[in-house]
Amino acid sequence: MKKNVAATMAMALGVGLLAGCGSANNDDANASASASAPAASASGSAAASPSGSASSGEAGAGDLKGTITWATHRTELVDTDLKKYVDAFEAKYPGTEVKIEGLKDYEQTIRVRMAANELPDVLSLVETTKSDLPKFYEPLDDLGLTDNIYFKDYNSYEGKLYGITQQVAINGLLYNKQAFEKAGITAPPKTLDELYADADKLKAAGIVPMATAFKDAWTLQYWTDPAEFIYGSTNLRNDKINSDAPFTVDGPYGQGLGILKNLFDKGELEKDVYSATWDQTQKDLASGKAAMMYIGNWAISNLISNGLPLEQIGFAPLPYDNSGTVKGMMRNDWAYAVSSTSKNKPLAKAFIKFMIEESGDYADHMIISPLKDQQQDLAPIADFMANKPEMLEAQAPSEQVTAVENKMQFDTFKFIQEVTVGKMQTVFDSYNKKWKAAKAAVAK
Amino acid sequence: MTDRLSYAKQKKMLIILFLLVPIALLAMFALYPALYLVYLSFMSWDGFSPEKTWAGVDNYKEVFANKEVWAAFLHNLVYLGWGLFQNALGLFFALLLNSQLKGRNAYRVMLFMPYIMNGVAVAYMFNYVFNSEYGSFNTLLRSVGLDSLAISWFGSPHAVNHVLGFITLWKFMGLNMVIYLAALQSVPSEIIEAARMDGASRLQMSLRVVLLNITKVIELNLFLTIIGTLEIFDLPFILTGGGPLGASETFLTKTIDTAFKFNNFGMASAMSVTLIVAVIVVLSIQRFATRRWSD
Repeated sequence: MKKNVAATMAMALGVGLLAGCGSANNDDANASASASAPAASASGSAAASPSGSASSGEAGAGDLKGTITWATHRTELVDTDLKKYVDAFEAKYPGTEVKIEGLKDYEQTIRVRMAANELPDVLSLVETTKSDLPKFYEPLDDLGLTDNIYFKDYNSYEGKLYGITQQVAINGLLYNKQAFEKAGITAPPKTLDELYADADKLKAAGIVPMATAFKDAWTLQYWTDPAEFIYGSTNLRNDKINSDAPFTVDGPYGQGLGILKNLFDKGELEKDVYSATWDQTQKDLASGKAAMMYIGNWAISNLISNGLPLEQIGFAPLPYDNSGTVKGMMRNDWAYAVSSTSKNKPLAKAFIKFMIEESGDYADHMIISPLKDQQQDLAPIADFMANKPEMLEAQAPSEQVTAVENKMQFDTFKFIQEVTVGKMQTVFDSYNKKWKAAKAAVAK
Repeated sequence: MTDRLSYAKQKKMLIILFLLVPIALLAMFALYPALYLVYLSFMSWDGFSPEKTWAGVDNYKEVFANKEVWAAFLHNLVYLGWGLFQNALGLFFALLLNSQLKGRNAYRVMLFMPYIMNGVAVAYMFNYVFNSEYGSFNTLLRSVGLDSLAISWFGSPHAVNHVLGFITLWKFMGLNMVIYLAALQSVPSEIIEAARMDGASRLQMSLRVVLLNITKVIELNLFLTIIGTLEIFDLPFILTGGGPLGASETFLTKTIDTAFKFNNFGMASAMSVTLIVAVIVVLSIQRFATRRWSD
């Protein structure tokens, strides 16, 4: 017995020692990285001179050395495509090394590291209040991309850019052309009445008209877009602060979310919404069991990988009224950022520039580049644009609105779910009440 | 040097030296975080920014004023109900398998197996069992003509907690059973033989002889069950994510959301401390209620 105790203690001690060794090694690595940093940072500021954005990367190429860590949320691509991009980067800048770290529970992991002040060099920006941006992230204005990107205001503070969105997502009505054909529909709906009529036809043909992946809920978040179309701008969320009762049945929220609710009430979403998941929805859309879904253009590649050929995929703006004019919503994605504590910022910045400009990520994954001068010529996106929609750019929630929403524990996903299946007036009343109380508490 | 010290002193030194390491580990990984939790519960903090500000008892006020938090706590009570049933079932199987039943070892293994399985694996398994469209349970119901009973198990706000409670029962019943079984086997055979000679029936023997001898273990099992049900987290987190519409949120999933989704670490810490207090209160009640048994 005593022997066992001693052995256990010895083990515990051993583990402690090992842990100690581990952290000591890390420190060494950091130290060596920082030793090479000063030389490199000089070249970084040279590269910052606005002598032309394309050449500036190469100008500093000879001096870029060392190792950086890149933390990414795109875990499914870490060993395949992302590795390919990193290899290409390392080949272009010999003597550099980029370690990819795919994080499954990305946001929470990064938040913990934020608190510990141990952010990786390059990462997907985790949102903070805007005034905290300079604390955690490095300005990226010297990359020379600032004026050529979408969503440059989203992660900016006091005129400095802290994050560049990794892609631009256009939300639209993604549909299966085969399913439309089967129900006798020849063209995507142009007005709200047409949308409802098409949904009826699809239902009659035994097809789920509108897929939502209701259970997973995050797929529902895009359904606030029609509310913003009706409001006329993406200020809707931030303008809530001016009202004590922002959610009204005949206001933008009621009308916008009413479209989804109307479809639900007529039984034109999934048969059992509570077990409809995104995994299943992709398969059903690809096989034609379901016809439409309101989601970002990035889902096109999901349908292709589920076996639906590109020419059978349709993408069109979602009609929100009967006027015949349409709008499209552009949303940002996770943003590339450099940690303010990075020991090798020039290399980190060069890597971001490479990923955006040269990696081939956008063509490979059929997504839209954040660079304004790079067109995505994928057929469904071209079809979407042929409708000449007025494009709106999503906005960052203001500090005040975020504070109130967090205080009232506002969960957009759950909100949309409740509105869809519940009585709209009752749901709105309870949210208005919570909003008012939280707003008063935050203002104090 | 050592021979100058008395035996008692040597012993004391040895004890201190040996205790130093475990106590240091305990302090570092259990006491410090626990105290820090209490400290955080009085602060206002978003979880990442360097500044924390003093909030006093505001966090606690908010916890107690928030109806949703206590609604989530009610869901825990559903699990508690299933937990008590689970104990009864565990005891029943233990009594059954303590007899000279043929193949009883195989049964024991079978009943204990779920406990060995990984919680996440169990969650995924039952995700397939209870899926409303192609799940095995609903397929079974439909094949015997009970179509009206084949509802969306995870989708119905009324059923979801009971389904989750049933899964916990399935998983943890084996543990209860094994503990009861061990206790049953330690009941002195003299007492049982004496009872048998006095002509006690099997039921009488179970109720009046065996059970009275294992009250301490029943208490222990209830203790484990109560803690487990008040702190249930993994199943709803993985299977339903608190849905549909928050119907399966438990106190802990709510705490996690408060901290990581709404960046309110102060209130989340206050919720954790509240949970600890709630567990202590419930356990005291249980102690009080069961004390009479052992006397």
